[in-house]
Amino acid sequence: MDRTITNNILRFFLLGAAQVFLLRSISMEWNGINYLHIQLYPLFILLLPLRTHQTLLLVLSFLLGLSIDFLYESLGINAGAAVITAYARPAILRFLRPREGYNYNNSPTKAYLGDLWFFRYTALIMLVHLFAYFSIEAFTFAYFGQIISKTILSWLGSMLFLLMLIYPINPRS
Amino acid sequence: MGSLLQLLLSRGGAFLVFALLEVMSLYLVANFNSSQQAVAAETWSLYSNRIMQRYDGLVRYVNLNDRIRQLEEENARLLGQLPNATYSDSLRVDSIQDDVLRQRFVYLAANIINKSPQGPRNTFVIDRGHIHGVEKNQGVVSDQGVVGIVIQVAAQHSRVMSAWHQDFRLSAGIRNKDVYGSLVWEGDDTRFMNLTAIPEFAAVSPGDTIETTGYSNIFPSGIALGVVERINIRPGDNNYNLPIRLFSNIFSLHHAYVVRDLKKKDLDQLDESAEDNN
Repeated sequence: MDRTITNNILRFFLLGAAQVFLLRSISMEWNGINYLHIQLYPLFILLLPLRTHQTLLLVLSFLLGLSIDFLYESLGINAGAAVITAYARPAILRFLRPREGYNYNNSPTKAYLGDLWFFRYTALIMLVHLFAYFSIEAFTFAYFGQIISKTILSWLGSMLFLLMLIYPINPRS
Repeated sequence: MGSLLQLLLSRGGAFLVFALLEVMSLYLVANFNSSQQAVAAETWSLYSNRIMQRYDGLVRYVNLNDRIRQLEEENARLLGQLPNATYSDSLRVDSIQDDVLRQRFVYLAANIINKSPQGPRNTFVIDRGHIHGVEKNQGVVSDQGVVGIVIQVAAQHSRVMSAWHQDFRLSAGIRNKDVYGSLVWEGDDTRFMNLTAIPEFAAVSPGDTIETTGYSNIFPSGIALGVVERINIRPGDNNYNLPIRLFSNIFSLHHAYVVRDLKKKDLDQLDESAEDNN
């Protein structure tokens, strides 16, 4: 089988498991509210090959979000955020398009597009994802300021984890 | 069917798929209240609980030192309550030593093995179920206060609606003062709950201890819950709405005790006959 496909299947399960079993226990409490929510699984959505059909992208993201929801007991929240992130991905890719354009046979990895590009790409996707996540979570009680502060803190934490993971592994596909 | 598939795979179709999946997700979120939670819980806790229990075992091992300290504190407190730890001055009363005090509540120790991520409707899963004698609507307490009420019982596990749940109401009063009201959680700050329906003329001051009244027949009376943080009264309201600083911390709860009321059958009979009379 194609190396790209096996890599992505592996990432689906490994990132899902890491999210549910390890990152779930990280929290930072202040004034009785949990502000730090480390999200690593959007890395799967980030790294899907550039040629991935958009419908497939949405469905895969939904499935990953939903399976995480089942173990987090937050039915729908991760799924909803993942779908928004997946839908925003092509727009972000267009926005960050390098001058020479993309080679659609590649995946948007750090190895292919460079450190700075990858950082900007990850930063935007994670911002969209976390903002979507906390907005959907607040569905039941809305405090906009709280959503923003949760988003910023969790973004810092998630980016740290994400870059710590991507630098030593540096996948090509 | 074929043309529908073609529509979904076309360029504009991506938006349709997006809208469909998003509406589905939001529908799940909106409907994920107690009753839907029960449906999801029944199907999924069967599988996820087994995994979570293993995982909890690992975490438990890592946190061993903390837990030993907690248990030691609790043991010390309990030992202090044994009859041999008290001084009896009943010698002068001459043979009125009888069995007036009968056991009413018995406690079943349980571990909290799963907590829902913090939100407005927090629930816990404990590792005791109906084979251990847990029944629906039994209370759950810890050494720091009230934990919640059992809402769902499986063979070896039960689900507890925590005190930090928007639908949770607890009859609570002020220690040594004959006023009582209802303790509710507003859904944001887990350190505080609000004691409502305390009349304005009651002499309450900040620092007063809040305890359970036992009127609900679920919890024993006199469990200390927290202290009054400050006095405030809503304009146009004749009742206090007192913020209570809780003794217990949702994040550090690990052990709990399921409370069984041995007189429950008797009390339930009263409720039933009251309904018949109406």
